[in-house]
Amino acid sequence: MRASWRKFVALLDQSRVRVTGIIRGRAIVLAGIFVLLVPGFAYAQSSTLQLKQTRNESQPQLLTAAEIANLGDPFFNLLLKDKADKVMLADVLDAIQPNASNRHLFVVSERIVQKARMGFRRAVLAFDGANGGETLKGNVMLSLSFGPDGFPEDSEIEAWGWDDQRGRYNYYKLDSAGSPTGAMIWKFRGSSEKADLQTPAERAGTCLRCHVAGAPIMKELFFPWNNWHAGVGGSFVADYLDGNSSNPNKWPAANTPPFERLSTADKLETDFLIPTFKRFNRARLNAMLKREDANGTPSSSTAGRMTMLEGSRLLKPLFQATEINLISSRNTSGIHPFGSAADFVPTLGIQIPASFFLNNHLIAGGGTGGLGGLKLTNANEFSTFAKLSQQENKDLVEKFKLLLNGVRGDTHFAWFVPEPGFVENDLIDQALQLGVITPHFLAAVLSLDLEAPVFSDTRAELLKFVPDQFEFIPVAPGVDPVTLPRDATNDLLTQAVVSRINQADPAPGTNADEFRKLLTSPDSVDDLRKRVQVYVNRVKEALDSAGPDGRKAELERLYGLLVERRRLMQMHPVLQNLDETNGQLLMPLRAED
Amino acid sequence: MFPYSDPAGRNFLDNNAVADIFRQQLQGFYDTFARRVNSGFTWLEALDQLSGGQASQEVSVGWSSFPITAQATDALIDRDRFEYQDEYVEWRTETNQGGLTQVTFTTEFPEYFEAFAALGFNDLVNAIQDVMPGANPTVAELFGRGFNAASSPPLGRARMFRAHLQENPWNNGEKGILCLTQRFNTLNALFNLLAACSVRRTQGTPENTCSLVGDACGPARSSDPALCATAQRSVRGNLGLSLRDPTGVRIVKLDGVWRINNSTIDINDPAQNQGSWVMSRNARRAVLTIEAGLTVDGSPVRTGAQIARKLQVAADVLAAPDAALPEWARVGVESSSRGPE
Repeated sequence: MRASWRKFVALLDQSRVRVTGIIRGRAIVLAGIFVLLVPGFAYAQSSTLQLKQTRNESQPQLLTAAEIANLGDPFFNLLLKDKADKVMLADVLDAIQPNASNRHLFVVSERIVQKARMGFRRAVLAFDGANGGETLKGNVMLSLSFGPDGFPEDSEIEAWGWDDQRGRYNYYKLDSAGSPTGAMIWKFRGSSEKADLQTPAERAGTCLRCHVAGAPIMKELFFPWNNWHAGVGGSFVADYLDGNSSNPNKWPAANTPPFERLSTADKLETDFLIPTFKRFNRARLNAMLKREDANGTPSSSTAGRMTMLEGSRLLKPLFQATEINLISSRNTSGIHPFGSAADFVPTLGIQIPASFFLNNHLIAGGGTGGLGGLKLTNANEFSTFAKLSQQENKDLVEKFKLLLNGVRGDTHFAWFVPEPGFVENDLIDQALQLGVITPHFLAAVLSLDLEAPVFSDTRAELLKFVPDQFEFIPVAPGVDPVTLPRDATNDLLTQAVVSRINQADPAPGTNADEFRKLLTSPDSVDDLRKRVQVYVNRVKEALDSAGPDGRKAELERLYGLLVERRRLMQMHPVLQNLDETNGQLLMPLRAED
Repeated sequence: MFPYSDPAGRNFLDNNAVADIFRQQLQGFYDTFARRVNSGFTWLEALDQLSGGQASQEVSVGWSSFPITAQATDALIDRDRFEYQDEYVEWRTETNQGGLTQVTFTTEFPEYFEAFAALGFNDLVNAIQDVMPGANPTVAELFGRGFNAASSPPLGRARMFRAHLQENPWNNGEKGILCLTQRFNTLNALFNLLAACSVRRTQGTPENTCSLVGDACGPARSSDPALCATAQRSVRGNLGLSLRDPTGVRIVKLDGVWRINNSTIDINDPAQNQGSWVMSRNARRAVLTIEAGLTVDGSPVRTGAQIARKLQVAADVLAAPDAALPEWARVGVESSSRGPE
């Protein structure tokens, strides 16, 4: 069915006409070559997707038949292939998943804690089950806004679908761009192909402006999902959106049908997005391996070696901040501008997240993200002692003159800070599990500027030593690479990087020289373990045993790092786009930032 | 007395004496914690006697089984159950030639088996065999060496069985797993948590109430703060609440994307999962059998902790407006209340 449809579209393309409607398999050709030749022609929505829009500010253009034939995700197949004239939310949902019990509604907003009936919230709609032969779980999601009364019938909708065959996400948008009447029209807005290679200028006005790696985004991916409706383990519950809650001042939206399927951020994380990210990264990693042929399995030499073809691209996230998540303490600040004075309890504790101190996801592994990592669990020790009180946190907010929504205050959950993006950490972990990089190599990189898990200039400058092409010995499936004895003679990447550093002949004491020392040490994993322990002990001593002045100084030093990371995110040419509030509401900033 | 039902859905193996012992024990929990001063936690009977034709509302509080407090590798979390598995879910792993073959999860509280132990050794063996057919436990295995089960009074047997659970091979993983044993995973802790968090507070948010109730709530866990926040939100909304019958924690579902030999399956659907995920005992027990080709989120299944990340459990709470409760069940009358008749 799909092949014959593609063939048909190709025939039409050859004839320079457009398919504008297919009803029960019968094509209705409504528009001819005329529409292709008249710039600015406004297209009424037809039952087949017609348009693409490369940038927000550009005019929509007709999709070529080849482009249409290259769309194979479930969202396209279920809706845009022959029901693209469905623009009302209820119709769209019915086309994707007619069984309402298999729909899931998640809500996020920087104003999530504000219960007053005002403003808008962002909804993410996910699906499970199957429809029309398409498996939906993790393969289609919609994003749209709603107000106190619920979803407008004619909502603008952003959507993505995962094309498993091509290993890419396709992004779509429903809005009135290109319509002289203001009618809503679906447009193809781009795919995730080579998203990671795009420059900031190329990203401007596209979905990839924010979808940096090409994957879906959940900025606050992990507990306590600051800004999301959640509920597990003391995370925030937006009870004003829950029709079953006892809140007497619920938004009317809570009693509308879509909100019967209101779900919580933990589900979006564990049930939908983490599997989605892992799949995306498998596709990314596989695409960078040398193959017998274009579609074949990765090639393997007689010595059992495989070949990485794009090493620098693959490992860029290990050295540079390509993607971030936002993590916070699991404890509230008590001083959110939308909260009440009674929320503040001076003595209540605030636990600083371990990932603030180092990349514990890769160093320790495990945790809720479930990465394999290096299993150096002393990296998690920070969470056992690195704590402050709400009063100490408030003092820091005052000292650093931080503003949220224009007033002094903090996020609902305190210590809100960028951390390395999970989607990129998982990519590196998959490379580790496959044997593309060894634990020794990973530990050496993570030892560099250990105390800056994100936005490290030191690591960033060393990416140039990573070759694009190198061979590696794959780790057998089911074998944990950290259980294997170090085999320096077969650690070909490490050898190649050392060789390139040697060629550059760096001066002693430079970052490159330090990197070489780490790579040539007998056991960089054990070196890292020791570095982590020294780091843990130093911070613990400063917080617990250095007296009130010493503790205050250490908290101020740590908070300075936090504020600086926020600033670096806001200054980053790409990652700044993740703040959709223009620096007002996502995170407290100094006025000058 | 409220006719508390068998949490495992086994009707106490048709043993009325066991049912009586268990119900007495459970009534003791409800009675103790419903008398917590100024707590909105109340007797279950009160929610059947609402005025004005009101009906109670059921709220399910869910959480993930993965113990987020554990500063350990997945393998260690699997191995050291009594140290790390603290989310009212515990599990046992079975391996063959180093590979994981089966993971058994339980949320059953020991009080259930204590009731059988109180009645006698043979009754306890029947209960264990109901969980693990073919089990042939000895007195020494269940109670410790030198214990005379026949001559011990019922309370002594129950206490000794409970005290010996970490050494009991039918529970500690050596031969099987029977019930929750980790020190925080107790029925008393569950009741205490809800009663403490149901005292209306004027300071702090519902989410951080857990940090304000002392040892009753573990703020670093997933389960405790979720239950605590729900309780606090309820009482701030002028609701009274109680734990629904059957009391306890039920297994809800496995999250994630599961495949067998690269074909996506709904792991929670017995019609699709080829027997790899079997829930039993009223969703208090579940077994994942790991056949070749089973993956979760694209990865082979290597540890129980990996599964625990995907395993959702819940406790069910009943709530109703305090003003609709019988007077003896309302906030403020706890110490003088006659309690349910």
